[in-house]
Amino acid sequence: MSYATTHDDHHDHKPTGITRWLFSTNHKDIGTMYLIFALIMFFVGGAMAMVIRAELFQPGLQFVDPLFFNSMTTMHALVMIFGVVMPAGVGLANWQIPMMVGAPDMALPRMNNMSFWILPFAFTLLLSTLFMKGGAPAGGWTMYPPLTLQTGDALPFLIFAVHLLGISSIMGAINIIATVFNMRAPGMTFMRLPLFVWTWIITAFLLIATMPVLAGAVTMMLTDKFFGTSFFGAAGGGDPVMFQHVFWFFGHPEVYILILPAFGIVSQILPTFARKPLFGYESMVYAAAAIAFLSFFVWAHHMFTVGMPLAGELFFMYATMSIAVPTGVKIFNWMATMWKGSMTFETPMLFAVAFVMLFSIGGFTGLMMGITPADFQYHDTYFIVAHFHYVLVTGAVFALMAGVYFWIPKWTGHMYDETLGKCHFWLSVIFVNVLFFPQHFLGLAGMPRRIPDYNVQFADWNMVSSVGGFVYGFSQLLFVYIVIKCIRGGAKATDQVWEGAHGLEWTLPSPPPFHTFTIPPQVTDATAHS
Amino acid sequence: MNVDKPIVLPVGKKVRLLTTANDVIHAWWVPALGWKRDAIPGFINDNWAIINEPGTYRGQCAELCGKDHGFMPIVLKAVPEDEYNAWVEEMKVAQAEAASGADKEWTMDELKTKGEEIYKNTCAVCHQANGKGVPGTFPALDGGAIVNGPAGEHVKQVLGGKNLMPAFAGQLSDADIAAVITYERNSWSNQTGDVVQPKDVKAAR
Repeated sequence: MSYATTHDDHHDHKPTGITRWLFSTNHKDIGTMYLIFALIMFFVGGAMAMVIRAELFQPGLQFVDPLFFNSMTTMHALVMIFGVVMPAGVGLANWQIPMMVGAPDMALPRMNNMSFWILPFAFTLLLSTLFMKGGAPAGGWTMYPPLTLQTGDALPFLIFAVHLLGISSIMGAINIIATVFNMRAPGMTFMRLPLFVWTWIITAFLLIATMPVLAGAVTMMLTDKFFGTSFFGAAGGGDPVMFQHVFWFFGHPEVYILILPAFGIVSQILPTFARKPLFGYESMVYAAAAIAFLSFFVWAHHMFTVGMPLAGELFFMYATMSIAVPTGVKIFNWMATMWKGSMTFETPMLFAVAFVMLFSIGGFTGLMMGITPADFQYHDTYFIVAHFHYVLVTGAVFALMAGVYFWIPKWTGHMYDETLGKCHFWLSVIFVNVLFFPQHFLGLAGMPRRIPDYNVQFADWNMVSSVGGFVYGFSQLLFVYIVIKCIRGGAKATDQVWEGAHGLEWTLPSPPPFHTFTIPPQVTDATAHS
Repeated sequence: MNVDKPIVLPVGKKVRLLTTANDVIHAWWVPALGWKRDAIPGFINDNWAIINEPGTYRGQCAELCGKDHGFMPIVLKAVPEDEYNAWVEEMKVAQAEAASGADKEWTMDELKTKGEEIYKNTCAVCHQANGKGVPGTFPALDGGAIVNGPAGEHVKQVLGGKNLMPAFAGQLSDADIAAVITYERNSWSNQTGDVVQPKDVKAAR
């Protein structure tokens, strides 16, 4: 059945000019805006990373003063987390979820518009602090008091930016839940939902549960600084460690907010290019839900060194390690999906396979740090830096890249340049490892994180890491070129795009009309997910 | 990465290490001991270690603590027990000497020389070596209101701290505080001509 013939043509008028984007209520346009925003922020955050790696290229202070260096590490993290990975995930959700569940649009289109347009304002607030008296926030993205209370004029800007980002995320999450719960096409039962949709529902619940907690923590900081309270000031009877507990109660689910959509993307791509259905669909759904549930009981593993009672250390150690079980289920299911499949290695598949392998490395180092006594040594060293960049760069970012390569022929109607795509992949996968793998060695050798200058014994691996960083960073410009080239033209994409693709979005024309599924499709087991 | 006063510990004995902080959170980390522990304002954390080999062990602060986080080395000297006992005796004598300094009258030059040294080690982290501070965060002492106001208020501020500024009553001796205040009041463009004596500080405690 072709949906090209069933959609209403007279509905397919697009508003033009700037109002098309400013007042957009169309999930495809808003998705595009999210993705472009994330791409711009990727280079803003990336430029900060380049400053960091340039300063660390050699021991000694070469380019920036230490306070600015701390601002760079702080802002790099905030931009990459809140400005890149989260918006890119929401952008993909906006584009894909209505098409995947057979809905005409998101359930709450005006709120969708608002949740996007908050972002540029939030980041204007945040990035404007770079030019302020006292400099940008330099207390780390974790914003621990009392240090972060020393921030100059930038502090209220940081806090209000976090508030805005939280509001945006919560609205986006409500929208996704409302869409999936209310607007599924007939026959699209929950257990027929594509896994990307499933992981996004779970992510949306995590967002709603944790963003208010972060807002509460930073609000207490605001009143500590400006209204004379002492939530976190020991001198006034407060507790600086309480901030860490509250922050990480948000912070740990946050890491799953970043990675669960990536799991979903990979779960769409692997079956497509292995030309086999996803192995263990139901266990994948339950595993994702279990990971999300457990993420609320492990927060204190980020703070083993604050000095906790033994019972607390043991509880958080075992709770942390138990997350490896559902995560292991997912990894094994992905491998079983590929097992004996008729695999081809187009760019999205390359990124997805690299994701499975490199994310597992990040998962294993995570387990190592979950062991409390071992963490006393690893904590706050370059080992943790290597760990979270493996899960967030070769994990989340690789999956997002894979998702863009996978779906961009659908969005634009053109195939991207496969040769350039493969070049981008190989440059990325080689140099991201040159960048981050040596950081494991640095951490184990005793290099603390967040330092602008270091002992000469760490010089060699830092230089290797910086070289990897520069090549990885600049090779991402190739991605921009590939995307622009694909938007402007290229081989015509078919409706199905990929030979092994299954699911509702692949029944639509490429590119899909402005409004799709105004008549709901009928979903059967055969046409459901791949 | 060296320090002026290394920690001296005896080998072959279980030693208990207590960590706390006055300003922000730090973390005490000597990798060879196999652990690190945060030093948190308002908290006292304890840990223990047994060092078997005499020698110098190095480490550094492991929790982001501000601009100079990368320049916060730890040096630990593990020595045989008799050597350790000798060091303890030596320190007791030195402390007694320092305490005796509290009673004598110091000249302006003596105070300024000692004060400059203490300023560099203790105050310059925030207020900067040139006394200009960091606009928006750390006030300038050069031309500052408290530094050029009544000396009593200045002593009170250093002893008791205020907002982000930690209290130095427990960290610096009377002579140290008198010296650094005299230095601050008579340096850069500040020309109050005030001489604060250790006994003034003692009286203000």
